Amino acid sequence: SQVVGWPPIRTYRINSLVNQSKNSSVEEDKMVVENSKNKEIAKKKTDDRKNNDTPLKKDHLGKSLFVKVNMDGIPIGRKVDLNAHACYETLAQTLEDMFYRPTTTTTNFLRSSEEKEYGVEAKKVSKLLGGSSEFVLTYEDKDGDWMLVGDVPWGMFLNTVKRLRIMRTSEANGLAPRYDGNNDRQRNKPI
Amino acid sequence: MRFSLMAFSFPQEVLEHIFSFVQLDEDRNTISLVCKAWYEIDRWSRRKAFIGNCYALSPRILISRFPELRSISLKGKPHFADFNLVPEGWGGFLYPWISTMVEAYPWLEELRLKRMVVTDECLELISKSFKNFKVLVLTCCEGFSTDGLAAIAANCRNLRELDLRECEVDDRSSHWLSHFSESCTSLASLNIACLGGEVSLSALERVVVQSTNLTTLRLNRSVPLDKISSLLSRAPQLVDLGTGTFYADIHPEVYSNLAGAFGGCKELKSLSGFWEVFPGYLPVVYSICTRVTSLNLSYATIQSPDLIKLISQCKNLQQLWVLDYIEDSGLDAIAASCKDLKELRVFPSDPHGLEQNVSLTEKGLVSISEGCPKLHSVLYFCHQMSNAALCTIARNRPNMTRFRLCIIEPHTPDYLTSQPLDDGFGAIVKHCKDLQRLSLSGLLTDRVFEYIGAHAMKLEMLSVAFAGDSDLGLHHVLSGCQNLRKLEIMDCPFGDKALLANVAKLETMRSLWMSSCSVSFGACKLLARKMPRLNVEVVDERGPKDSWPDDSLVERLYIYRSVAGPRFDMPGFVLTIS
Repeated sequence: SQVVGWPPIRTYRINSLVNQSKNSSVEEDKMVVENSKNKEIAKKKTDDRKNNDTPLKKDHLGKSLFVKVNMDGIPIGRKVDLNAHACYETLAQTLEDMFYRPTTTTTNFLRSSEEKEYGVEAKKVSKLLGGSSEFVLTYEDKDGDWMLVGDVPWGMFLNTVKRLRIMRTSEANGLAPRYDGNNDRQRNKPI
Repeated sequence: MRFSLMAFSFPQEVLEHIFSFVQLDEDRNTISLVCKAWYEIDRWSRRKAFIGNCYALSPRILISRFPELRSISLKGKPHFADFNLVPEGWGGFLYPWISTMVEAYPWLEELRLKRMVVTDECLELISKSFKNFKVLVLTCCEGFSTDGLAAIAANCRNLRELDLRECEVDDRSSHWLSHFSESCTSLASLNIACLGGEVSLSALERVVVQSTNLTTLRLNRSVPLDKISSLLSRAPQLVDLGTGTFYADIHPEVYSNLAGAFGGCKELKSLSGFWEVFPGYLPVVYSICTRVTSLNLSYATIQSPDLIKLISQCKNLQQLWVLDYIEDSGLDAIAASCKDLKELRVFPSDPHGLEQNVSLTEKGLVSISEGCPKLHSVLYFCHQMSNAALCTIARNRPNMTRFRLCIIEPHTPDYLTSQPLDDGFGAIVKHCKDLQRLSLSGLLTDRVFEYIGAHAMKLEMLSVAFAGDSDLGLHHVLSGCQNLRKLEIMDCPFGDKALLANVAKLETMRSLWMSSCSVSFGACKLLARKMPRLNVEVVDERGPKDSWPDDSLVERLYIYRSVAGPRFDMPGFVLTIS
């Protein structure tokens, strides 16, 4: 489990390392496909990578990928580490905890009235992915388009997400309509 | 007998001329204390101001004290904001400063900002209001997009420096660069290394060509390797180059163009960038290695042999930033070949990895401390350390001024003896009498703070995490370290007693940050009552604070001296106790 703020490395640097291993693996694939002249170099590179850091093999596991998260109606944004998750469900759960429940501490001194307030809020976001609540989870992709979270494979999502927004369902009407189940991989651009 | 005072009072113009040779703020401050006349002359002739904490004063106070500034440096968020310890929206907003400076300093030329929230609106206002604006340096800033940069490019006709260091920039368009007018030829320094998106290569080339005084050019990752050749051939006068990606398919023509282009740059002394490196291309820079004094390879994920081949040719290297792929063997080689090395930073390639992935230990650092007599600044991430090694380093390098050691796993003891690392760090503060900055890590008890409090006389900034046993540790530091300005602490068992016993000390410092420690809300209130010129900020995201009991512990505490009183721009999770 990772401690916030430790080790003391700027988010910028951490994200750069993650992006590097992503880009490198893409380059590696490209090179292998290209002409045979480069095959030797490609192989050398693959070998280098194998002797190299574990991140590529582990597919970014262990590195951080912090992205901003904002929720409609709440002025203060947060940051979440996407690489701490392997699927949409745990991410949604974390976001619920972040925005609607107090952070875990040894002393909790919210009185019952405040608890009630938070309790009511919690109900609102219990189904961020299901599309049946007042809020829905969306993300901005590399092209600047806002998409509903959950429609593409998790790995593809990691490669393209820039930031997240917990949007009021009423505002999300312009986005791609939800498809039942996760089988449909087709991406839809907003209207 | 009456002494004529004529011999002792120079005309104002003469004094002003003399004062202009005194550049250091400290010295100018001293001058202003001599007498009222000198105070006034200094006040009207001061052209530069450095404000280490933007909340220590207000724009109005600055303007009334120094009405004719041309150059302002401002710092906003506390240092630990770099590591996600300060929630978004905490503060450090530039806008209130800009909106007042627009009226007061129409001839402002330079702005250097660190950890501030800068909006596009700010950038637009800067670009349109300051007719002679020349220098914009933004370090670790956020809140703006390429639209704001476009405004700067379009309107600042005398722009000399646009320097973006590790900022979070919202990439809206690759064409902001094309907003530079063709008549703008003054650009000497352009650093866009932190931009995540693409930049228009044609616009980039045009800017480089028309900027005949360009000496610093730091590109971002999106600029392909083959583009470097054409840029360098257009700007052979470059002194400082940050490449884009250093990765491309091997191609003899690209290779020879690059080698030729680098060879043509007779002034090139500083290299950085190297995002994704294809080792086969590294030799293109070999011809300039002997001139290189600064090398930043901290994003280059290349292995030790390639790193050694490159770095050991840089016989005049003074500053090296590198990933831990360099390993102990690489550091041995550097210790043997880079005798002028002054600053070394070794970053971790896999900071959250469960197993160590490289062979980098304390031995590499010891090697460098032995081989490099001018080494005085170190930032070193590693997994193991020993008291013996630290003692050796301390004895080898009594000229050390900045020593930041990060043993990645908290509470790690001396790996040879299983003892705390108190004695090792104690040796550092005892031998390195000019030490100004120190970051601790590993298993540490109150004893290390006893050493620091007693010996670190010149220490100005101390960073502590997961260390100490009790309030005594904090008390040692606060009651010693007479030059301490900044103290930042996370996850240590320090609490009320030490703070309340040293309240006066806090007013001699710029700031104190404590997060995940044991300070109670009641103590914060007491401290605020005792010291009205301190802003005691409780930064805590757990609901409204009026109902908190006195013995509840606060999540984060930020205490800083201020002549401006409590600030008004706090978000809900910040409470300034008054």
